[in-house]
Amino acid sequence: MVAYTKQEHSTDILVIGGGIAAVFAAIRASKTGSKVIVVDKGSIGRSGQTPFASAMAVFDEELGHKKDEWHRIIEENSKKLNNPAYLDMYMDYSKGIYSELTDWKATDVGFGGVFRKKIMKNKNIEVIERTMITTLLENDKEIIGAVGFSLDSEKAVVINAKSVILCTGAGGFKPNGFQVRSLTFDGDAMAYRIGAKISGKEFVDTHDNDPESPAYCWGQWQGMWEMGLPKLTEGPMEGGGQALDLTGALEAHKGLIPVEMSRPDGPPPGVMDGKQGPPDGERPDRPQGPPKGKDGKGERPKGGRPEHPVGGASAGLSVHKAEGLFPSDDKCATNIKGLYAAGDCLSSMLVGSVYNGVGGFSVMGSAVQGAVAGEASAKYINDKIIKSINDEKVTNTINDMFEPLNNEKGYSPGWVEHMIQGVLTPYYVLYIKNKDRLESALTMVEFYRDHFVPRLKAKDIHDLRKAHEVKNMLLNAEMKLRSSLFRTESRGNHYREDFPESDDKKWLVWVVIQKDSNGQMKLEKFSRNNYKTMVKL
Amino acid sequence: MIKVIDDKCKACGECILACPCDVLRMDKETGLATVKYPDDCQLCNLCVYYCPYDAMELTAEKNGKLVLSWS
Repeated sequence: MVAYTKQEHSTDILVIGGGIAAVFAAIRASKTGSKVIVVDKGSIGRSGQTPFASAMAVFDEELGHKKDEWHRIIEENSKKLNNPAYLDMYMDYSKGIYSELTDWKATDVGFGGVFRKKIMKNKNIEVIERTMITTLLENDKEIIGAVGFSLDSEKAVVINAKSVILCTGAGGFKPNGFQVRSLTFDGDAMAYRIGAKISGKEFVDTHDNDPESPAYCWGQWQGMWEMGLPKLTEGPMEGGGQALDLTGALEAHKGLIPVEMSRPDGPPPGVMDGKQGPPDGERPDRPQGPPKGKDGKGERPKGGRPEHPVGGASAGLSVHKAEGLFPSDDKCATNIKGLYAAGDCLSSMLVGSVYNGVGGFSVMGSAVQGAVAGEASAKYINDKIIKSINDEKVTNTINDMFEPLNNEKGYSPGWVEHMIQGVLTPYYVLYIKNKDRLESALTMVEFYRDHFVPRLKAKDIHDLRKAHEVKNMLLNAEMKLRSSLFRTESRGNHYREDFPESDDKKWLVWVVIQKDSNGQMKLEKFSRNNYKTMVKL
Repeated sequence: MIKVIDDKCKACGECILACPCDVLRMDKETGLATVKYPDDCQLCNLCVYYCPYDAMELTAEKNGKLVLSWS
């Protein structure tokens, strides 16, 4: 048995994550004097996709923006699956957030350094970095805390909290060539296990990769690293929703090479109904990030688009703001009392079923939702007391968490990771979908879940982190495959070869996943047009 | 491929904090940062950015591991 130490904390609000959503959640939550702890697998302010932000949209009536018009355009772009309550929130908050970022002087250096200092200086916020939370603790559907472990020693971290805000981002199956290998759906997985509702899993994201150097993430992203305050966009573009372009995948399907899945000329006729964003060549020049080195004079490595791109660089990821915890109101609450979610781990459906990055909603959406979740959580804890956690439950949770370190024999998490990629990365599973292939992949994922997960062996703490990431990836793979099977139509970034048309009569719904009383994954429809009933909850 | 330039590394630990994938650790023998888990590197460049001493180097060289074994 691994000899571990235990570090215990007690706080009003626990924020899990370290990207822009977590930064705004922590700052807003602490404003009214609440004690906040932020725990992150990496380091605060520069985790997840935040360092890679490239554009922002701000709603500003003084610039002539009109709410009705944004609603109309985004509803159209989203293939009628956006959540208007979250667009309203965005329009109410984005200008304030932008001016706050300007006040912080996040203009000339990357976000990361600015955010980290801002959080570290705040006396109401305690920071615990390089610590992976694996388990949320609840009592009678009310959140009471969380348990995790340090990446630097055999130390369990137990945090008692009145409220928890998940800002854990989305995830991918650790694809090469894209900056999401730290994102493994940890929040969604933890929340699902305690009964939270999850949604948006069937809408896939796509980015291209370089066949010559498939792991070269920096090159593929064209130097869009820590750019300071990202470029402001003009807001949503008429017809700008980037529906999934399957040209490359369909070419590959016909045996033609290369497997190109960038978005050059729009979707194949008859497959998708949406128009595309501007071709990559027409995009304005993007500013480069700050030069490296403390004196700012060092040379920056050059980025650049691959000459012959292939798809798959973001395999496993959903469209920004699509996948994640299903909100129960218009303020980032969930069906677990005291548990909030913000950013890419909240299924806010801000832009619905399509990738809408051209509009600049991704990073600002996370900041806005973080701020709202922080405020809502601070209000929620007002009349709440810290509820004690059962000692036996904590001990059992810690023992389960460290189990892969204790197993003398078993499967290496790195190897299981490769097996997951082998099943889920190819274009013919989550991009060109059909019933047979989805079911076949699901069979393998269920086998991995039942056979590998209980027998994972970690040789050190780094491996222990990977073991938990593998568990979370497998749970999410199951959600993605089941949601994809469930939605028997094509819409936005979900394409079924066997159901190529959109079916508005049956499918103007969100697919909501929840664990039933027998521990089985159940899927239900929630009519998009009933979003107002969520707001009233 | 990611590389630590030992002559420039001052063991401040900034790269270890900045790495999203826990690739870097402090080498107990040399007392300097080291690329301990190269297979998990996503070549994202954040350690290069955040190193205050220009002690990190990134090249496009492929570092992916092939799947060949049974487990």
